[in-house]
Amino acid sequence: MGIRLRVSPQTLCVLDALLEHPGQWRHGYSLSRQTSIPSGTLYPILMRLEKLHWLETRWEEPGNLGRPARHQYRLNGNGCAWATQELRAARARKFWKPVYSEV
Amino acid sequence: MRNAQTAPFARRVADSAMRAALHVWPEESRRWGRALQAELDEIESPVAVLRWAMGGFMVLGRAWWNHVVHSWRRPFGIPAEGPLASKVAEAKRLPRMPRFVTVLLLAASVALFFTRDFRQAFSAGTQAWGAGLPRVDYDSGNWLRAKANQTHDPELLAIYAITTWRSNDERLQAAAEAVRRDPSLVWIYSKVRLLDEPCCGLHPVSKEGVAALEKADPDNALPRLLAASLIYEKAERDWSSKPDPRGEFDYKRLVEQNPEWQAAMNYAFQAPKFDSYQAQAFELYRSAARRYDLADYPELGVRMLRNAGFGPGSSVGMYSDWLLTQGESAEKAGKLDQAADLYWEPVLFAQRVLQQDGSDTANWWLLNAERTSFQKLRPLLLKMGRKDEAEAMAYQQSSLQARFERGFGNNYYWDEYQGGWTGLMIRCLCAIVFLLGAAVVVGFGIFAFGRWRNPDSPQKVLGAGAAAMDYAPLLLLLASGALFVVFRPLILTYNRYMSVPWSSDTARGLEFSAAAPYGMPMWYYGFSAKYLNAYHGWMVLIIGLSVMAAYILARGTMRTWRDRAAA
Repeated sequence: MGIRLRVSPQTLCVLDALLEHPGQWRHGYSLSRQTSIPSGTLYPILMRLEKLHWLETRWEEPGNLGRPARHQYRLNGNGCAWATQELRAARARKFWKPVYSEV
Repeated sequence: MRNAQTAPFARRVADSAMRAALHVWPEESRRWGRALQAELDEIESPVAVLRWAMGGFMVLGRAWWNHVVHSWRRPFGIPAEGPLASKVAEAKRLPRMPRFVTVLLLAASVALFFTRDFRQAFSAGTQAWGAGLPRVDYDSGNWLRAKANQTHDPELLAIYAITTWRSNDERLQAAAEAVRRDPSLVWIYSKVRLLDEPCCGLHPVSKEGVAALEKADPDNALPRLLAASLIYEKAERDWSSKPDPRGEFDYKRLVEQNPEWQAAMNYAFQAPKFDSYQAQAFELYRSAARRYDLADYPELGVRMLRNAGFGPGSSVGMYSDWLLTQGESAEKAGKLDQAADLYWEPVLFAQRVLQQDGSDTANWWLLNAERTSFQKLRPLLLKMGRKDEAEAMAYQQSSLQARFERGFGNNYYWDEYQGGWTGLMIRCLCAIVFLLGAAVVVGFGIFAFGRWRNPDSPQKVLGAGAAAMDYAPLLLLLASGALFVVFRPLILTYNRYMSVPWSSDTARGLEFSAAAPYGMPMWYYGFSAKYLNAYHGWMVLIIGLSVMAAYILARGTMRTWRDRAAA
């Protein structure tokens, strides 16, 4: 792919949050609240995951008038497999301790 | 959910900030900015909404950083998004060189331009195209005059007087002012040449200057030789303007019979020393060059140090012949000792001068005088019974003969032996650097300001611009490097000679190193004399236009036939 993702603890947190309900679309703010990662850190992680083709993105349907459409995210099949592997490896070397979920 | 009542001010600030951020967000990642902005409505806490917006600005900073870094991989004039970006890989009419490579190549060329050696090479090359011979240009002439006025330094005034191309009055005033401030600089009158009609390849010196020099340096033969030359040159000019039907030899006879000329030549041949003042000129220039950092004005050095030739050669030749004629008369009259003294005079004079002036012109005139004297002297010595002296002279005579057969290589440094090809190369490289620089500017202009052009349309301008942006920076660097490499040995030689004490060899080394950029191969001079004239110019123009007309006609006819065949 030409890009290698730096798997930082914050990235692992985001992956963990996205793996909580793998097929479900998530919003940026909810991810931020769940992981306590500020927007300035969260979005570059999401941008890199998308560039690696592990993250699917879409704009939500404009159903609610008076509010702009929000961007949604979820891991694709490859992304889920890779994230599971990374989280397992991180846990094994005690690099990262899950806060919200067990994979 | 949106809660506009909770913190309207904080939300308004965050909204405005994100909207402003979106305006400057790079196109390729702007949707992420919109994604950040869309979340603002979901945040309830005023602090959190501001923190979210601040995070958005951090993401904007990263986006810009990535945009800039990635833009360096694209060629100049190609935006990140749009029709041009997708066509770069396959379109021939778009530049493909990444802009960081282009910038690096151009930066290397510019860095080279900041080196003094390169600047001098470029300056010499451009001047050589203009004048052919080194000439103090307008800027350096002005600089020199302003600096001389500001510092009241007689040495600068002296250099200005010798090197300026301005009027005779300006030259003589500057020389007089320099000598008034420092009387030891009186020798500059032998170097300040006037713009009057040149004689024997040299412009004349001033009569008043020569008189001052005679007074200041009475033991030196040079001022008397210059005075004699003035008489000779005047006679020649008078004869040229109204040629005497009796022929050239009559004006020479008139000069020979002129008592002033006779006195001056007699004094010069008897003078105890000959000083060409080349050493003084060298020291003057070296001293000023060190104090005022004149290295950026190489033409001053060339003008100062170039040994322009031995001006009084004709007078020396004539007087030597006259002495030999007198000697023959004395020999016929049986006054052998007197005849020997007269035959020796040109030999001794030549040896005295050649210790000081090693120029080819001086060599030719003086060695010729010596050789002619030996032809008379050797038989006389044998007649006088001085066999040993005559034999020693035979050896010298044969070595002189060999020297003449080998040739003196007039303009040795300017012709094809050494300087000519170097000069040609410097001129050509200089022109190439100039043209490539112009190509870069034009290519950049086409793609930096012509993005609106549709790459699908076959436009020759875009093709030329693309070629310029792809190849010109590399070729510019190569040509600049070649110019630097060609000129570097010359400047090293020049600097070396400028750092050692003066000797007769110094003139040759300095002349070669300083004047080589202005030389051309001998074939060029032959070619230009034969073919570079109005007649051949018109001929080439007419033939060229005829060939173009024939081509256009043939192409039109071929198209007509093709269209008919297709119909």
